[in-house]
Amino acid sequence: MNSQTKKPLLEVQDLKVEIKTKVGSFVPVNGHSFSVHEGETIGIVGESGSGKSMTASALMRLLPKHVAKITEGSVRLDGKELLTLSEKQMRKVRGAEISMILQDPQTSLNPAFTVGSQIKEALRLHAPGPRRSLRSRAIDALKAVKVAAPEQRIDAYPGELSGGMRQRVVGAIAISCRPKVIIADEPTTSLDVTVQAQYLRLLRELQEETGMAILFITHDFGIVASLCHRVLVMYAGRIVESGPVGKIFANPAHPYTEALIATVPSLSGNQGRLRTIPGQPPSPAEKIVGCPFAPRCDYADARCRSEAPPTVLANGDSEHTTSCWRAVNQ
Amino acid sequence: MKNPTILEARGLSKHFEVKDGFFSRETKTVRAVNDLNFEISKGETLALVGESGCGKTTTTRLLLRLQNPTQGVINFEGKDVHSLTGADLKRFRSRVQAVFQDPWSSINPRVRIRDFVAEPLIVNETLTSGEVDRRVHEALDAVGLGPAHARKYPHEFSGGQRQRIAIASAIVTRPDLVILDEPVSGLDVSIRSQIINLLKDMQQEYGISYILVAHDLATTRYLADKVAVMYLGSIIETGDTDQIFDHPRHPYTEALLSAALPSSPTEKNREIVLKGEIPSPLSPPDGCPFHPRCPKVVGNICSTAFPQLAAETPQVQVGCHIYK
Repeated sequence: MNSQTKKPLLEVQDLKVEIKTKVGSFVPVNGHSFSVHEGETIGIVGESGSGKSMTASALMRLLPKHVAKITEGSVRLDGKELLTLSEKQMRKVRGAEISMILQDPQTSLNPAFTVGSQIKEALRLHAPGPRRSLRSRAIDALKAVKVAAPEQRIDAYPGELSGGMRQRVVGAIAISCRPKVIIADEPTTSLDVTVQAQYLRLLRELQEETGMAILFITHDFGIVASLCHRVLVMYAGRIVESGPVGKIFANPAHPYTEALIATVPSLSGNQGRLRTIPGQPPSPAEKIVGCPFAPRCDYADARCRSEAPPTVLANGDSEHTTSCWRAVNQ
Repeated sequence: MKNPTILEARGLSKHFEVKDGFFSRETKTVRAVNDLNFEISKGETLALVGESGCGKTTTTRLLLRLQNPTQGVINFEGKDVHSLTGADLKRFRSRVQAVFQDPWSSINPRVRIRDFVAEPLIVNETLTSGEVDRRVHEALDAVGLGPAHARKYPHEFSGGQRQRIAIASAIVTRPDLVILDEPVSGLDVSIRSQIINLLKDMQQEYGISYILVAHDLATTRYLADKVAVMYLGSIIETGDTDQIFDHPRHPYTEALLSAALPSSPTEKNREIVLKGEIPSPLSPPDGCPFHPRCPKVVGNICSTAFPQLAAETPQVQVGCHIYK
């Protein structure tokens, strides 16, 4: 897909989130800039503590109050700045223009209400209409996510549905108001492999129909390979590499990306010893001097440990960026 | 040259009675595990593969003697595990150990690492405390943690280190068989390969056999010599890992492997997307358990007769009517 010709739906500039705790403050999202275009899927890959979910919450303006705060940056949805909206205005945008699918369908649905009433709630808030048409629109939403027998399932309670079916219902709520952008935060982690394959195919089909942009948060490079057009690789609150999926897999510019791809065993077998990354990711509260990956990096030198690397083009490619001193030196 | 068999399961079944409703007096039977047959040789890894509800966990619980089978036997070194008593049972408990998925909940947070790792020794063997210390240090050393860590508490360690501690505790009795229940899925991606390599090293060094339960197919392929693919409580295909991964014969195995995610975008997957989901084990379909979702149903026989496992090659057995 050529991203130049499509219009950007979500533009994020220098986004910074700060968390204040009793033991001090830290920055789980440190100066992110990226954009997502119409009909495009962007993968955000990273390990736990890398700030993926914090980024998602910040974009939705759902950060825990009194603890986390957006200190800098701008988030524009289809040209409209979200960070300056009042809470009341933001409530109109959330669910209608940008919506979210969370990891665990057990907890994102209310067990005490039927599936239908939860889909209708979203419709009533953002696209009100007569009661009878709400029901038929809710049935349409279930049809769109390929739930079998939607006329019966609409009156079911979440507990009566399987995990995969529940995650489809969450998807139905998310797309019911035809949002421009969907943020999916590890939506398939709790699903079985064959059900995961069904769900990923469903997302692809919905995107082809509606042209929505998807921001897919995951720790799994396999999902990135099968679903995403572009990737952002996160480590310790920073985007360390970004670019088109094909180029990132063929030619990873950041040592972390390279090592991460190499440590995963392959399904086709015939591998020797697996490559490992020594050490472990820094805890979010750790003070980082220099490059955050330097303590685990095979190529790190004195400068890596003292100065944070700038974000530069990788291999002179305008679509592919990395923040690594090795790329600067090239 | 074939290594001696250390454990075998014959006709292993486990059925649970569940109430048909909160007020109902009638009960239904869940056939969690149905007529399993498998064996593990010394130094070998057998993987149980399948999706949730297929009976993997019940099988491991039966193997660890945490539950009694409804039918069938498990023989460990020629003796029926579920009729062991006294000294024989103690011996079994120390020869067979387990490592679980979540290193945050499988380690007691209130005891020092030394005491956690030593527990299987203290319970199952009679050793002086000097000997216990020596064995604990040996085990910690084997998993790549220095003896200096022995005095620390679990909260001082990261997830990957905790999983190493759990492994140290499992090998401290020098067991013959370790049951690995999702040993890496609770860990960060960049840590997983460290633990996978460690498990492989331990096996080579001490000749331990593993029974691996993992939903990640690539990890399974990497670690296992043999696999048993399970669906709704039955083994539907079993045998040599490479043969099954390269050439799956059962339509479910084929679909399961095709659903696994590609390791790069150039590897375009020819995924077979199955319809529907796994039926409830409360009301399993008649005949072949997979027939309602199977893209290759051959006829009436699929919905009436249960396909028994039969040898397709000397190393692979398949339970499917296509091959009859």
